[in-house]
Amino acid sequence: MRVLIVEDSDSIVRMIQALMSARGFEVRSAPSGARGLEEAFAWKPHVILLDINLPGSYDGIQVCEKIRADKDIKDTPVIIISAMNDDEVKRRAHEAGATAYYEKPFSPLALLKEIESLQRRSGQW
Amino acid sequence: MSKGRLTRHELSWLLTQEAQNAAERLRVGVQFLRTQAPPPPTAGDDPAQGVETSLDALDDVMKMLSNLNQRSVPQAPNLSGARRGRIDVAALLVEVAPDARVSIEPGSGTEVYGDEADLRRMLQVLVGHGSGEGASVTVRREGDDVKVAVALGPDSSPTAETERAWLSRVALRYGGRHELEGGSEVLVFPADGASDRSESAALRKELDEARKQGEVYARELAAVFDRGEEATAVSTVPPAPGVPSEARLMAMTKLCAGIASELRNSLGPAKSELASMRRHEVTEEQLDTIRRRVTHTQEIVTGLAAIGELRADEMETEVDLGDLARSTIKALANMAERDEVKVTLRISPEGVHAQVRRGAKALGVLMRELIVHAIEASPRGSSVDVTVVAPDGNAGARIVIDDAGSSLPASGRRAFLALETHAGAYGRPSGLPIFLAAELAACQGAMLELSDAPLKTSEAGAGGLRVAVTFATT
Repeated sequence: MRVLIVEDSDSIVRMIQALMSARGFEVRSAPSGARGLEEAFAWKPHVILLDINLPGSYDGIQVCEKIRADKDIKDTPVIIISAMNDDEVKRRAHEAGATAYYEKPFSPLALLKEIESLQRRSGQW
Repeated sequence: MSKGRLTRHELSWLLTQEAQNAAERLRVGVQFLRTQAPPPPTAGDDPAQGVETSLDALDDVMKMLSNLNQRSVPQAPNLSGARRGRIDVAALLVEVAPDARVSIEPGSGTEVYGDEADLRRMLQVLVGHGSGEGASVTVRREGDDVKVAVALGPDSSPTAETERAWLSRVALRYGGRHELEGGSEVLVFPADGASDRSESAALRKELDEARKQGEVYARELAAVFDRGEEATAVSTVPPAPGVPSEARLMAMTKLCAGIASELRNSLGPAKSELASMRRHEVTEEQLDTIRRRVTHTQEIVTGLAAIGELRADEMETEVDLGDLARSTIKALANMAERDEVKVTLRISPEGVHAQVRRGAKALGVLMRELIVHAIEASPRGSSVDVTVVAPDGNAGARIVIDDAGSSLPASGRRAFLALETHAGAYGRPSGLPIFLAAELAACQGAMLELSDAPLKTSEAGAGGLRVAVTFATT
């Protein structure tokens, strides 16, 4: 299974990478929204883990909107992982098409369960 | 054109933009003249005037391109030694525009971090947009920003918009911005040190997030270790995610049919060979040993062949688990008798029919594999207890089989279920029947669990393994 992490914090990326790699998932990361979109279009991951506060032209919400607007990857589950915990941001993420929203610090086991549940539901990976 | 001194590359870029804009306006104007249709809204009020303006702009651009190509554009002397680092914008402004009326408002410093050549050109272009010689320029510090504002002149050059696009682009590159505020044009740069502070703040934030995340990881890991033994006291085999049960069963039946065929081909002749060996100097004891091994292998083949005959699309029918257990025990009576193991059946609650709607043949094979394993694992003179529990409310029907063999430690169950242990490990037979039963259970919407069998008063200390298959209620 291919997992793309769009996150500018190197430490968080490494932690998620360790978690996912231990389950045999193939993992790539991108430090900005624009790079994340490039990877998503080219690599077509099964799940995208997306931060909201990203450097560069696009924040996580905009990245999510662009993913949903692309015919090739519009159905890819997008899990937002953000330190922002106010309802307005969560509402925006939901409207942008996010599949799930996790606040930092997140539970690694809960995140794994979420991904495995998505995996079961899609039945394709 | 402004008085700013841009590099040849930048100037070419600006002129190209201008030429493209002028060409586009011309195209629109010419289209109008050709069709007499109203031009699109972008063409302006008067098409003819639009064409004239565009031609003027093109003239302007062509003249500049011509000048640019006639003379080389050496680096300005004061740029040859341009440096990168902390630059005082106010001091640079006085140097760049000696005729301008520069007003420096007191603050906490007008230094920015950047390339002197870039900043110099930006200031030249900005001042060029002012009201000619003696333009009024203000430099001031506002918080973490250094702002340079110029009062706009009454006339705007044709290239002003393009220059503003360039200013905005370079300002963004420096982490600043370019603004038009009423009658003035403003460049905003992050003050020197401010970016360090924001970078430091970002690093602190990242460190803090990482620390919190690390703590959560550590807590969850510790919790897993804490409940380690409890968590493994019952080992479950849930259906593997992602693969449809029909596909799983189809793969398994093919595998089993193949193995059964292969073993039958090799074991058939071996039995005949054994019969002929009897005439020579082979002891009865040796022969019995070989015969037992062959018989055991034949039982494995029978089980595999039964699985090989299953159909992935087997029709579901009402199956009474009590009846099924009874008939399976009867079919395996010879085996139990040979191994001197007593197999008992109990229905709970007594007299109730424990029915499930599943594939009858698949359940028959599942039951057989469980009981065969229990008999093989139990020592001579011991007993195997088969319990069928009827469904009750949300709890589905269960088959529970307790053998009297060696206990299987919780730490060894995963490897046992994954067929990573060989026959004899932990004093138990091969885990193949349990593996097959677990796969069949998963295909039938049931879950197989391993745990310690309860101690029997008659066989205190014998241990034993409990294999339970629980059927989902839906």
